[in-house]
Order: sequence, then structure tokens, then C-alpha cells
Amino acid sequence: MDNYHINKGGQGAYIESARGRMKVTDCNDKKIKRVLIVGGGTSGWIAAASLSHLYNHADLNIRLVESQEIATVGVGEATVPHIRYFNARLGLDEREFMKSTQATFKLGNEFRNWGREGLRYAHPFGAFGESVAGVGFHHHWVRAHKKGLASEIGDYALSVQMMNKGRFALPDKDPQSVLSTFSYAYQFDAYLYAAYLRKYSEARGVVRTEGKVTHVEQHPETGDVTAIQLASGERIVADLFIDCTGFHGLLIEQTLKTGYEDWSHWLPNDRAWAVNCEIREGHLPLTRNTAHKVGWQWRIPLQHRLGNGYVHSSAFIDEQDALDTLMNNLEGPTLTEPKLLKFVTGKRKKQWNKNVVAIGLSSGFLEPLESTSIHLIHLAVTNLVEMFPDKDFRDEDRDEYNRIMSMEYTRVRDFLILHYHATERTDSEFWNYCRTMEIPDALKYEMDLFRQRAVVVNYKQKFFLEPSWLSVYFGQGVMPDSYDPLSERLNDAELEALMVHTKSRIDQAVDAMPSNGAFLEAYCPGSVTPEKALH
Amino acid sequence: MTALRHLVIIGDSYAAWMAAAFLGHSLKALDGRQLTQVSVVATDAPQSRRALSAPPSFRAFNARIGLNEAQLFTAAKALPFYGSQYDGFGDGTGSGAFWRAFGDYGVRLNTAPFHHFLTWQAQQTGMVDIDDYAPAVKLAASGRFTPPVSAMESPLSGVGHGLNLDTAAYRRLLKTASPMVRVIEGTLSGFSRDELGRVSAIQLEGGQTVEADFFIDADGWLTEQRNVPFVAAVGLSHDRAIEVGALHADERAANHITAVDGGFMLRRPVGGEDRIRLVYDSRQIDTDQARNLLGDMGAEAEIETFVQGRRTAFWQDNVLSIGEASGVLDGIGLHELMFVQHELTQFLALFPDQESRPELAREYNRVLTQSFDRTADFARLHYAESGWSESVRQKVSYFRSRGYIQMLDDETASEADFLSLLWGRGIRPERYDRTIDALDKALTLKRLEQMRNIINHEINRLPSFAVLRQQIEQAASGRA
Repeated sequence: MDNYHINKGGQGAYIESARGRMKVTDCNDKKIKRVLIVGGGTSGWIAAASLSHLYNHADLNIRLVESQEIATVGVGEATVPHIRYFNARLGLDEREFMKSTQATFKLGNEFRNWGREGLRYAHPFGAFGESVAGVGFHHHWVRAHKKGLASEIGDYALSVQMMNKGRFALPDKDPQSVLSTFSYAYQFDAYLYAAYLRKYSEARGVVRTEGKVTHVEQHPETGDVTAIQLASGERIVADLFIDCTGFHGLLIEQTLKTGYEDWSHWLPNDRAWAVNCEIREGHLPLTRNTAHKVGWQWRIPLQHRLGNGYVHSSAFIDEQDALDTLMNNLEGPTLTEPKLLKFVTGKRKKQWNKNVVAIGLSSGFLEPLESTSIHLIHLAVTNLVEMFPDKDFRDEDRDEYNRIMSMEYTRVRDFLILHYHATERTDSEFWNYCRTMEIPDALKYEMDLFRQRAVVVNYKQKFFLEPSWLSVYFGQGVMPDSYDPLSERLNDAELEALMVHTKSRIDQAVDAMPSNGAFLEAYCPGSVTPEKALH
Repeated sequence: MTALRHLVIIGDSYAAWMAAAFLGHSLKALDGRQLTQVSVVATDAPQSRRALSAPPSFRAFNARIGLNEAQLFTAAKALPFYGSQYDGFGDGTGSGAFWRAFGDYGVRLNTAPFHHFLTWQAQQTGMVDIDDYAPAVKLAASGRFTPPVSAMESPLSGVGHGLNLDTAAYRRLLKTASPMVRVIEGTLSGFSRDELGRVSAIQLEGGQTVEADFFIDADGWLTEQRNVPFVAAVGLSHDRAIEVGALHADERAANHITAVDGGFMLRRPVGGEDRIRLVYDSRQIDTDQARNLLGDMGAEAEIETFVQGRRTAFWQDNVLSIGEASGVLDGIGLHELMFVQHELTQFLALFPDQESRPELAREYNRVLTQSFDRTADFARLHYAESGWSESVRQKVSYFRSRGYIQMLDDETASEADFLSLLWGRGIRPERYDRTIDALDKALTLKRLEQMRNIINHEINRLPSFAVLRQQIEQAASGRA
């Protein structure tokens, strides 16, 4: 047992025991008391909801300033499965959440025309087959494929077959069940998500102030942000500022001049036209990303409408042609006016600078090709909580936060670049550029290793894991030269039986599932009625 | 793609035979045919008589080669242990007496890692004992034992035992567990290369030539002959070891690691005896002093010499260096068996064929050299600050500042290992996670008390380890 003696000497307070000495931070003096979130939108309200859930309201005053005059971007309606853990931590009820945000289920992304025109594949939230004889299923598949004993890889993933057949069921926790081999996420209305979290946050003491920021005050010596002034004349002082002001980066960039790492030479898209329309082709549990001659178009089905957008590069197509491309590729009448978003892919050099943490678009931008926008916001908030500072703002907290976030952004970036680079398309300047460009060293390393031996590098901090990389490699026609030689532990008959058995087990399970529309309607009554689909 | 025809393992060390058993089993097809002929060229290099320790994950390795624990107890002089009791490893402000065991601390009460509650409790009540929350430490310290518990709700579910064993006995057992492997005995005299510079054959004294398309060097000779550069581990100065046997001194399933000026003494129970290993820096302790520290037993014992560090590449062309041929540390982290297991597992995951694929070696080297450096960092953390690397300094400063344990890619120690060592060495967080302040104080103190009580209650109903050890040792001597 350590018996500590509390010793308040001249050098600050310590508690001491025979086994160690512990410096006691004078908590009440140094603790951050006021957090100001500047900007609402998806990131602002995610931050507000998390902080208000985790911290004592009496201890930490959380305010959020937003202006209805400033439109939020509100893209990133498609998500990845981590959102379920995030929601669970907040204690959200799934059905109520889905109802409030017009949410639908999502089993993965479907890609069309990426590796080459006419090619279609799925990147599911799920696994391909099972390891056999100590060898990952995909090695057996590569071998079987080379011998003509296997069909495409998606036939061996439950989640891909669910996507292909438009079925849905909730996963099973029993690892023996084939239903444990997938996960799911949501597609929802980001404005409603923000509104939902606003209600949640306000119920937990977050004070929202309507108003435009007219001036930012900084400490004359340290340069820390000390307060903001609103058009109303109100001045709001805080200890920690969370910049959720979008691309503009009011605090992190306009005030602190943090600097931006531009990645657009690897990801040249810099514009997106977005428009909502009616759903005409039914409810599939997936986001569809279709490549065009320049860039790509998203199709995100919600309960009541379809989100569409065309991500493109202004260097390769002009605005009007881009808009025409989008409007000519809609399945139903539009419900909104098309909106143009401009962005530069990259990230802030420091996402946490001085006493300002940038979260959301103010921290960086990666196109929504793999639906990572909301995930990166969740991740930022989770890491901020783990590194939550005191008023002395230590370098340790900031440096580690910046290291982790930078690594996450970089690794997601490389995964996105893979989609553009691994292509045979030669039908436009855009694809010629992407196919032949120099890629980051780390991605080249990954691709070289995969091409040799079908191995995916495993890092501790890597959001997209092996099944994701396999989906894109195989889906875009990157076939490895060799596979794990230990696959030879199965003879050809066993190999063929493995393929047949895996496929039929999946087909049986999928055939027993309800359609996604029927499941959704039973789970969230009123969600997919024909009337709703048309309004 | 053409599979390797012949893979040759060079050496007679425990690492050589671990490789033989593991690859022999793994390269055997399910119907019994061999994918690749595996041979061991058992060199006559002297093998030191010593004990080694392994973490709970070592069981998976043995299961893979068809060895169960009872066999290890009887034939490899193995004994279970839960952790190590350190003494004398303070940072100057404390005694440096602490435990490190195979299990976690506490159960999360909110999103914050549990150990933040230790700092909180200390600041709230003025007292905390980290060991109160570690069932594995309690097991080790109280001299009790339990077979692995799988029920998730039990506080013992995350606890596993490692094994101490005698390497000479383990080698003998591994030889019997390598049935598909051909053994060639001899002394290495040379090697030849093909036109690509790859090793094509090795020559033995007496003129025998062994051709193969891949070589695993668990001896060190081939690695040395091929001039693969060696880099010393900066800040790690121990370079000698002496090991002796002694009667059991403790009834518990635990190792003892005691700091002495210029080195440390590691005492671990194996079947029938304790093995005591003095590891030291020859610039601080001379041979006579070293022998004296071990008493009568030390007078005759052989002195092992080593340099801590590693090869710049562990896999080059068609030669893989494993065990001491790839790198050497002083063993304070009890890493040796774990590391060979890691090397073999990674090698199998990147198993070569007859084609030259430098990408496989590059990835293997990236993972393994980084893992080695992390293991070396874990060793450095045991010693004075002057020997710390920049990455150790950073870990310590993060922990001291806010109790954050930075886990990097390819870390070989667990978060609990770092916590035991940092806390044990007297490095205490100045702050705890603020989310704890949102919890009700009285209720949280109550829940911590309940946690301590449950752990105590569970531990106190377990049988003593002494009885089990007696059974193990009787069974072993009955067999022998």
C-alpha cells in the first residue's frame, strides 16, 4: 500500500510515499472551465454532444456559437460502422436515432467504372470467407482464381451478397454464425443529425448562441485565442476553442495562420455539385459511387430522398459541364437546387494549434469517397477527450493529438489515392493523370507488397483494414503475382470444396433474409412507404 | 509460383529447434505430404545451460507444434508463473519494489482507461495500491494458482500464466516434436553463392555440402560470414551473464528481478530448482565480483559474453537470421521466446517461394526490426534515464504529464506492462482523465472498493501454487 503524505511545499504540492512521489496539479486553478465551439453543423454538434455527455456540466461550461446565415456543408451523409459505437457511447436509441435523421442501413460502398469502365465491385463492411489451414481466405481465393476454380471475390462475402441482393438483417454476435461476418453503418440527413445532436447537447447544458463572429481576440504575448465578439456586440471568453467553422477555418487559419498541407496533386478533385432527388430505384443498403470521365458521382439513399453529388476536378472539367453530368445522371426529379462546394484536399499542418482544436472541415478535407468525414470528426473528438488539456496547454497533449490525427488522415488519404491510381482507364486526361501520377511512398510500398504476395500491411493506427484493401485491389483488377504458399496445404479438390461451401453457406443465409426495404419498414415504421419515397 | 524445395535451418539452439518444429508442422500438408523439405544442420556450437521465460501467448506456439502443457512440465522442466517481483528499480525517489504480471489493472468505469482512477484515488484519499486492482499480481504475490478462467464476468478472465523452462530440456523436447525434419550433424566450414549472390549451399567439415533454396540462421555463423551489419543498442550496457541453479526459495508462481549495482539478478523457478542469472556490465562488475555475488555456485559457472544490439536486416536475400543471430538484449523484459515466436509467425505470414521477392524481406525487416527496437525500449525503461532513447523519454513524459500510455506500431509489450513498469519505477501521472470528475465521488470510491474486494475474494478461494508445483515436479521426476 502506498500511503501518501500530502506535502504542500514551495515547489508546488506533492503527495509522497515510500514508492513514489506524485505532483498534484492544483486542479481547480488549472482546469479548463469554458469551452467554446465556434460553428455548428455536423462537427460542432458532434463535439458538443460528446463533451456534454462526458464532462460535468458544473465543471465545464460548453457553449456553441453558430449563425443561421452561414450555410453548413452537410455532406458526409454516408458513414462507416464506427458511428454505431459512437452513438452507443452517447446512449442513443438506434430506432429513435434513425427515425429522427431519416436514416437507412448501409452495408458498404458500391463502386462502378473505377478499375475500368463497366467494372463493378463492392467494398463491404465485412470479411471475405474464413481463414483455413492457418491461411487467410483471400490467399486460397487467389489460388483458386488462378486455377479457374473461383468466381469473383464478392461471392464469398456475406455482406457483398446482401448488397447485391438488397437484403438486410442485423449481425449476430456469435462468432460461429456466418451472420457475425459483417457490420453496418447508416446513411442519414446530416442536417437532421446535427439537429438531433443539438437537442441532445442542449438537454445536457450546452448553451447555443446565434450570431456571426466579427472579431477574434488573441493574447498579446502567447497568441492564444482569448475571446470572440459577435455582431450583436456580445463578447464570449473561453479557455479552449473548438473551430468547427468549415473550410474557412476562422480560428485555426484566419486567426492563427496554421498553414495547410495541400494534397491535391494526389487527389485532384476540388469541386462537388450536390443535389437531392426522389428515390426511384428502391432501397438498397449501400452507397453507390460511380466514376465518370472526370471524378465520380455519389448516390446515397435516405428514407425520404436520394442524396446525389458529383465530385470533380476544375482542372479537367468546367462547372457547367460538371453540373450537366450530374443532372443527366439522376434517377428522379430533383427536390433541391444544385449546390456547388469548393475544397482543397489536404489537412491543416497542425489540427490543434495553441488553444484551438480544429474539428471537421476546418481541420482538413478528404473527399467522401469512402464516407470518412463523420468518422474523422468522431475520431478527433475521441482523441481530444483522451488528451483533454488544462489551462497550461502542454505540448505533450497537443503533440500526441497532432501525431495521431495526422497519421489517420494520411493513411485514409493513401487508401483514397489507391482508388484513382489502380485503374486501367485511359478514356480521359483525368484518368491518365491519376493512373500515371507519382504516389506517396507508403502507398507504393503497400501496393508493391500486395502485387507480390497479396499481403496487406498491418499498422496499429490504420482505419481501413485488410478486407477494405482487398476489396479495392481485387475490385479494381490488381491481382497479386503470388499467394501464400501455405495455401498448398489444401489440395485442389479441397480448395474447390472450400470455394463451393463458402459460397453456398452465404447464399443460403442471404436468401433467408428480408429485403432491405422490408426490414427498414419493420424496424422504423413509415420509413420507406411509397409516398415518402416520392417526397 | 513454385514452392521452396528445401529449407535448411542452421544451429542447435532453442531458436533453431523452435523453427524446426514450427516450420515442420506448418509446411506439412493436411494429408501428411510435405510442401517443402525442412532440414536442420545441427552445428556443434556450445549451447549455454539456461532458463527462459515466456508470456501466456507462448501456449499458442506450443499448441501449434502439438505440445501441451503437461509435456512441457514433464519434459522441458517448465513451471507456470504469473509475473515478476522487482526490487531496487526505483528512480531515486522510491524503493523500486513492484510487480509486473500477465494481466490488466481494474475494469473500466467510464471511457477513461482504468489506471486514471489510480491517480484519482491517490489524489482523493492520499493512498492507493496499484496491485489491489491486478488479479495477476495478487495471484503471484499470494502464491496461488488457477487454470485459465474463460467466464467473462470473472475478474480472473484476463489473467494467464506464462512459463519458465529449461532451454536444454526444451530443445530436446522440440527435437521429438519435429518429426518431418531431417537432421544433419556437422561443423560449418563454408558456403557458396549462386550467380544472383544468394546462398546456394553450405559446406560442412569433412566435405559434405548441403544445398537449399532458403536458409534460416539460428546459429549466427552464416549471418556473420555474410557481413550483415550489427548495430549496438545504445544505452543498454550489460554484456555478461552467469547462470547457476539453486534450491527453490519461494513457494509462489513468480520470478524475482533484483537490481544490483552494475546489473540485475533474475531468479526463476523451473522444474526441480530455481535458476539464478546474474546479468551485468563488465565495466562495473569484474569476474570475481560477479562470481561472489552468486556465492558458492558461482565459482565454477561459465561466463557468457554478449553485445546488445541487432543486425540491420534480419532477412537478406534467401537467408533469415533468428533468435540471437538477429539480435541480443539482456533479457530483463523476458522477451527471448516471445521474440522467436514473433519472428517465426511473421516469417510464415510472408513465406517465400522460389522467386526472388525483395518486398517480402523488406516488410519482414520493417516489422521485426521495429519490434526489436520497441523491445529494447522496454528494457531501457528499467534503467537510469541517461540510457533512455528519445522514444522512451517521450513515453515517460506523456505518462508523467497525464497518465497517457503511448502505444506505437509493433509494440511488443502490453499497455499493462508499461503501466506496471512506469508506476513501479515511481513515475506518477500529474493529472488524471477529467471525465472521472463527472462521476459521483462517493459512488466511485465505493465501486473501487468493491473491485478490490471481488479480486481479493476470488483470489483467496484459489488453491496454493505450492501443491501444484509439487504435483508437477513429482510427475516429472516419475517420468525421468
